[in-house]
Amino acid sequence: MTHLFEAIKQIAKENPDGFTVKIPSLEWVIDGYIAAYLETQNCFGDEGLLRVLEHASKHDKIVGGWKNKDNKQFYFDSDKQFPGKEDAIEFGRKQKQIAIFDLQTFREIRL
Amino acid sequence: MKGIEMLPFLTKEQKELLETSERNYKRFARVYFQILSISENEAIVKVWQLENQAKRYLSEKELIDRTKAVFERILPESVQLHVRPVAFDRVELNNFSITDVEVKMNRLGLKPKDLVHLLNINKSQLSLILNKERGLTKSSKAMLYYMFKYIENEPGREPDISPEVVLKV
Repeated sequence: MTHLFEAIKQIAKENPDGFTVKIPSLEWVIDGYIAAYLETQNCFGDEGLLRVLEHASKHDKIVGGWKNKDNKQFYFDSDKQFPGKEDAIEFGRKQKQIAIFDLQTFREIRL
Repeated sequence: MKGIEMLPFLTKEQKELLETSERNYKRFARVYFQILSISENEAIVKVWQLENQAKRYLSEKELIDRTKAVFERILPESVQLHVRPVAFDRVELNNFSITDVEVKMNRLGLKPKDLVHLLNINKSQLSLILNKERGLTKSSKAMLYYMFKYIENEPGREPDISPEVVLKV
């Protein structure tokens, strides 16, 4: 876990505009529909990343993050990837998300 | 979002919508927005895309479409949205430099005399174009950028270049 933690921190540092990767491979998620878990909302900093890694390990093994320019904190989340739109929308609504994202067409879908 | 302070009329919900969209597009697509100006009846928003992991790039039309969706339910009905899109290749083109020319020439195994031949110019014209102190002019940038793009994206097609380079390959 320590190695993965450090690796994700490094990816985060190199990608302040955001990233979404599979664990443990660290392969970028670049297709399908992506939505975040409610449970990992507002996870930031090292502690937040640990929580997200634990959640992602037990769920869909996808971790993402971005740097909040206002407070300079790095936020992380555990995500789920879907091949189909409707399932992603249903999940996103259950997770009380404002939107999901279509990685194939680069289109946000507001819920 | 850059320029969001120009929209003081936003409700909390609208602000959250805009901030979420900005975050999502930046994170997943490396698409960025900037509000350039707003008046009683017009808002101008710039949208551009940078390099991303998926190597997928939206056209200007698609960038306009995404921006309109982002600002839906945000701007008052009386305010017309005008979008200024800058597609990725335009950004790459704008930043294209003599260093990039040198890198591409090395990668493609091209010598200056090959460029002279390909561009149908003479040596002194090429020297003028590639003058490091002066930098590339807008039209030279476009000429070289698209020439290299064409060569790179036409696999199997050998550009009509000097015999020495063909033998080297």
